[in-house]
Amino acid sequence: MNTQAHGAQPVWPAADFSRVPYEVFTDPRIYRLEMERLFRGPVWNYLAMECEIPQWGDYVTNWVGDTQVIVSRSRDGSIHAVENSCAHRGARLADKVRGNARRHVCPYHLWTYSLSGDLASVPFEKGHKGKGGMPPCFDKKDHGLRKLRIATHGGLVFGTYSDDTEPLPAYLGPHSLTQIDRLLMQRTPKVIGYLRQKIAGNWKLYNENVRDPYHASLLHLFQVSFGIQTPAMKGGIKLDKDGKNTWNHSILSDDDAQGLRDLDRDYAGSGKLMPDLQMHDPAMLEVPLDLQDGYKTTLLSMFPSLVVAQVDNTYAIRHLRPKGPDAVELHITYLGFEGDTDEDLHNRLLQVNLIGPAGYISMEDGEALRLVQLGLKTRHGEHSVLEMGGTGELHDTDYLSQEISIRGFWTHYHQLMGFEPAATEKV
Amino acid sequence: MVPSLQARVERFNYDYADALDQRRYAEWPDFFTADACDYRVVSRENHDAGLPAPLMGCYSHGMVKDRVTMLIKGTLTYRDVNFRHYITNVRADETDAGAISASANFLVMQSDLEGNASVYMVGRYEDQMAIAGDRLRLRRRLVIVDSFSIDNMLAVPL
Ligand code: FES
Ligand SMILES: [Fe+2]
Repeated sequence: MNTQAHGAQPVWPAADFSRVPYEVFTDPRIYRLEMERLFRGPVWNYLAMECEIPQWGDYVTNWVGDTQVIVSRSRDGSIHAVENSCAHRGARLADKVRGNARRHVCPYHLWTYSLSGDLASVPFEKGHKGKGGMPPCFDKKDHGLRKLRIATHGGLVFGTYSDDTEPLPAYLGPHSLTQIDRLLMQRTPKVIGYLRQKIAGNWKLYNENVRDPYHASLLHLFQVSFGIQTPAMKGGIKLDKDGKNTWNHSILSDDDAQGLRDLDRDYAGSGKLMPDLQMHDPAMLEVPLDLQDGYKTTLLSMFPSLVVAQVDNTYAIRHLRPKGPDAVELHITYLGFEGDTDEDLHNRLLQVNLIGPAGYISMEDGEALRLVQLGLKTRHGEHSVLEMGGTGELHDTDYLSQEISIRGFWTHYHQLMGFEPAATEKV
Repeated sequence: MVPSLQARVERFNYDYADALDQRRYAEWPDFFTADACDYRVVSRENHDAGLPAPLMGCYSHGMVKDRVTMLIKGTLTYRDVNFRHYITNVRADETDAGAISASANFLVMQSDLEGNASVYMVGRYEDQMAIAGDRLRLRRRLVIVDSFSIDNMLAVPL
């Protein structure tokens, strides 16, 4: 443990990670450590979709943790990612969100880099009329941009800083590979819009939120009221070997309508469930599932900051961009597919009302995170409780009211952060 | 004195803002024509790039009603803040008999329940209106949002 980590040493009293110290959501020293050990560590960070940069010179900017990177396509078709900060005196190079450029030129003193990040030219390197210039020992090879190693799968582009990161398919694991194939490889995706949401909560709270189907039918009353996800539904979770990546899903079945009526009892007293509520125009709820495999909601959550989400016929890449310990931008890339008919597109524009910051079944997540961040802020030395669905060993489930997948996230997080071992006995 | 078209559209916008700011959500659908209406909140990012997905999109009067019904019935858990619209730079032209093309800038401030105010939204309305007797109604309101990294949530329409 280095000195920086020391003093930022939270207590993990339960070996099964059924207790999480609240400091991990608030302590700026832990946040700095995360940027170093997670985002620059042995992980694959989501960078872009290949379809966003089809041509030579196309680029998008993105964030790896809180570091901005430029992701671009070279002449030979290869993809590169470099930090968006000049090797000279640190200026931001690309100041647009996306665009096309065949080299990176710094606006300050016009140092020019190849798309792969090598320094190509320095104005007045040899001075002017024999005077000035860089010293003879200056070698452009030593002054390139900071680069990430790239791997792609199913049109998703990932980058890593570490030489030790395992190969991408092994990192993703079998469930992620199956789901990426199901959602993104049977058809060719195309971007039909971006949605952004500023959330006043720690980035890990969102990781908990997407691994938490327990809340889905309690916080999001719209989806219970209109049968999108209800506690009566079939579904469950699957975890990868490390517990870091989770797939959770719910399945549409014939008895859901009866299940919903029975639920009335379970919600009794809360006054929250309104099974008789009708929509004036329910068109968005009547779009038949286009994959025809019965999965109503599937959330694929990949460590540390990526979610590939299917809710009804909406397909979206959700990416987390931490902005300090108590804020995160949720960036959503909303997808259609090549060959979509006008009707398909219309349906996607109907159902976008379900997701994002104005989404009937997702707007509350940002609010929930804000409330959690506010609530836990001063509870130093205390812990959250994750026991729903059972404690002890991590395992897959065929039920939805569980927090096991959240414990999976923390298991991997704890390991990468190099914290002191968690207690061997449960509190 | 007969008010100018400009003045009528300004008054319309103030009434519209008042209904939302005073939480008289049930009145909001009445600002739209009942037969065909189209209300979309789009990010400037998507709008300028020609990407079709809105943040919020109501393509029928029923969908407009649903947006506020969910607020009124409490089907959504949304943050309790006070909003105030400021609508300026109104421009209005009669396109043909009974139809108006208009635009305006808007600013929406939010104040939390402990009295802290901040900018919630900045953007522009692009409108197609119908003149129905002495009332104006929206056939189409396109809300283009400059502040498209949405602060927490967009539950209440703009
Ligand atoms: S800071 Fe980039 S060229 Fe000087
Ligand atoms: Fe949620």
